[in-house]
Amino acid sequence: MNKKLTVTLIALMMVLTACSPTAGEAGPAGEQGPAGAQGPAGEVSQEAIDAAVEAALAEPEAEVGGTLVIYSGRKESLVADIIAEFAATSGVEVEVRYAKSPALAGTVVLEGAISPADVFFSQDPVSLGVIAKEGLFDRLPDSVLDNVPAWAVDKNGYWVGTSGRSRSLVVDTRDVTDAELPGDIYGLADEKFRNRLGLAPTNGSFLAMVACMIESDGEEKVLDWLTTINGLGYGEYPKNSPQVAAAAAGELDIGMINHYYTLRVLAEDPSAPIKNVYLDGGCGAMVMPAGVGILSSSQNKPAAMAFVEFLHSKSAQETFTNTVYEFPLVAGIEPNELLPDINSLNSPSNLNWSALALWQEKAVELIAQAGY
Amino acid sequence: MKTPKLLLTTNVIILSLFLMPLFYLFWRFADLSRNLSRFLNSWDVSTLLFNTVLLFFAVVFTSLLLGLTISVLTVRYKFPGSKILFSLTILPLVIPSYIGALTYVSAFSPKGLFVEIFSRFGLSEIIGIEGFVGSWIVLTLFTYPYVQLICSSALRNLDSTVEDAARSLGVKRIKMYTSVVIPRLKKPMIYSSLLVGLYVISDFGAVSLMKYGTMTKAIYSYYVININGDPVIFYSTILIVLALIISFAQRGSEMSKSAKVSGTPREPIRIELSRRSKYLVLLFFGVVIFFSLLLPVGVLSYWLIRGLSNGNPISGSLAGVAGSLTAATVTSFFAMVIATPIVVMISQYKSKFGDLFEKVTLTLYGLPHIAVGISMLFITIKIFPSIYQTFITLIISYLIVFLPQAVGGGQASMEQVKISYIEASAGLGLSKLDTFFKVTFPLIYKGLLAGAALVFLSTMKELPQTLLLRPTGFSTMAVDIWSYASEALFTQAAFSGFILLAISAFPTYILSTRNLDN
Repeated sequence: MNKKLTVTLIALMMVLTACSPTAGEAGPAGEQGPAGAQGPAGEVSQEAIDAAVEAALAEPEAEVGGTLVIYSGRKESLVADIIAEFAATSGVEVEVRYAKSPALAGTVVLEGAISPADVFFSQDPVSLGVIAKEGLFDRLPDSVLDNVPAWAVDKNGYWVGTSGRSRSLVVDTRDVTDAELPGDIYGLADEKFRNRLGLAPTNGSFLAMVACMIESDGEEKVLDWLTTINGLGYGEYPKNSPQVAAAAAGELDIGMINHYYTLRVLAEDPSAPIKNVYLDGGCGAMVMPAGVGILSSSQNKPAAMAFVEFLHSKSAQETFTNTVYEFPLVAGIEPNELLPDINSLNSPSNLNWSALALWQEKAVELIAQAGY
Repeated sequence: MKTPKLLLTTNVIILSLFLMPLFYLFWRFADLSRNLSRFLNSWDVSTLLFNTVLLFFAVVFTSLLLGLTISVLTVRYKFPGSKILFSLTILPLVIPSYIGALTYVSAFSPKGLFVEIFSRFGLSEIIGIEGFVGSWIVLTLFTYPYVQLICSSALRNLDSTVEDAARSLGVKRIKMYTSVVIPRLKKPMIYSSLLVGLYVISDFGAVSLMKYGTMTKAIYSYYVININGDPVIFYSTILIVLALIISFAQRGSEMSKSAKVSGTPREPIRIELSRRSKYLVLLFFGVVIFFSLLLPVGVLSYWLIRGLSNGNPISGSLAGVAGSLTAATVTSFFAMVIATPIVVMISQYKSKFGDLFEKVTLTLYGLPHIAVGISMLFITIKIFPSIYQTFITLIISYLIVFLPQAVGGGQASMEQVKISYIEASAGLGLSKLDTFFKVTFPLIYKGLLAGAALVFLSTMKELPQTLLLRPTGFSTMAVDIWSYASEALFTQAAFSGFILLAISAFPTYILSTRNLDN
């Protein structure tokens, strides 16, 4: 009986794996993006990028088409319009899988060569680093990497930033005074903040911040901080936006978030009793790029490249800053007026995103160990 | 009768395929167990297990209490509107735990709807309902109908002469129930506890929304943030073992002696209540119906009306409706097709192997969906990449956990297929296959359809497997409710929730009360 069963199972497996599209055909070899994308290196103006994008999109020889599968760690409500615009202007049929960035990064690593995804659009650099570390991204051409400042680019060129976001604290201005707020994130581990803090332990940016803390201050100090915060009692949220809502509703005093959630609420209701506080330094003041990378296993690299370039276009960059309230990364785009000057923020300099990716798993472990 | 080889082979292949997620998890777990001490140290397994088991006992206890009380009141006592009240108390069955939890979390958040309504009376803030208490309340409110359905039907068939005798001997009312009625309801009570208990430990939506750290919540959190998947495998296996232990414990206790229902059950005399008791009973039903039915539906209505009047769009939710209906139709069709040979083998060709087969099939029912989903995710990536993230995988995964419902429906109707019919058919020279199509199938297709309808309803509501395995771009109402709610887009969440409840309410009600009439 057992033998029969095993034989049947093996036979079934063989049939199923034989059907696999990855087994037979290889992806189109040699094609490295549309010709129009290989613009002159060096000084790149916004006009040049736009021209390149337009050329890439308009030129029929660019062979942009087919289906593009995007794994988006960025929320549907934030990027659906941008993606729809890309689909409409490029003629590429787009399929998007939305989930949290770390989950998608983990999924891509698990999938390896069989990944259905062509591009990974991440809300945080650490998730991008996880994939880069596994060698699953193609190196991007300099023409794309040079579009944004060096801090928002992977050192090895495996991914490129698309917009910037800063860590911040959202505070309920009715219950919190500026004087009682600390200069760095460690100052939150204080008795006076008992039952007043909120955080989203599974949020990619929070994990990135913890990874940054491990990198710069060591495991022990971070575990100690996490344990103290847990002991003080905290509000646990699935993500950042509900923290802002909770602060506005008076349910939460201080939430550890990314800056733009607060600005979105304030843009709709300027009288909302909340504001962003940007810490004076350390990982709590980190400015991170959201970014994008093209998977080596992609079956449609021309379209993937067109999408990456589209994210640097004037239209996409303006959407990022004016509807999502993020920092635009391409030169010549006016940041939204609600945003602080990015140069006034004290993000730790020379952050190595790849190093942070190495700490991601440790961050998860410490958070669990601290009892979250 | 000897089981035909073809039938046996087909069934064995299907069941082996269906058990693969289980085998895969155990195999991966064995691999992990070399690092077991590391897992036990760095992750809080004991707390999660404790939280899960605590919730299990708490909900089973209160559900039994609530379900039994309703059963006894409606079956044994006379009061106005008892029939309609019985029906209304069953209806919460159609509310998935995540919708229930969502409405409770919002209504009773420290400054939520409840405070908004009572603010004119000076109420400014309340302690929100969440964590253990929140999960306990919500899960009790949406699982007690299982107890009510099973126990009330048992109570109806229970010979009441013993009770009458006890009463005539002057035994007090409460004492009579604890010493005469309840012991004789042991079997249905155990069975309904099993249903409720498995629901509780598998529940993912309610505990997540209530922020209560159970195994399922840990599995999903780790899935969302971990890279290598080890803890996810680790916790999924533990959860499956927990479910298996509960299933087997129930089976063990079923074997033990349980008071026999003897004599011919006769229509019991329903006792007239005093005026004061009548008011108390009506008040009790009012409270139960308010919290388990009116409140969740009311909150959904409020969101929808407020959202629509603010001009929030709901068109985005339509794809989810179509997705749910497609997935549910396909799954229920295949469940029926696959269940048929299994039903025939178990019921028509009674054999030791058939018995074993039946037990294994029933075990599938108790498997926590999230663990099956995780296992299917890994299996398709590692072993069957060609069906990874496809509709096929999603459907197979649904079939694994919902097949027992289809089998159950078929089995119930197989009782009408007398062995003499089959023998007569064979005597007339019909082949086994002809016999099946001309004799067996016409007698059992209604039962199979009823089973398929249950599968349809369950599939439509399924959340964790759908979240994990759905093809890119595919959505269901459950997924929509989940993701809209997590982005605080309550209008859209309420719209999908309403459609889901509307589609499932009537058939669930018919199916669940169908057996009670005969």
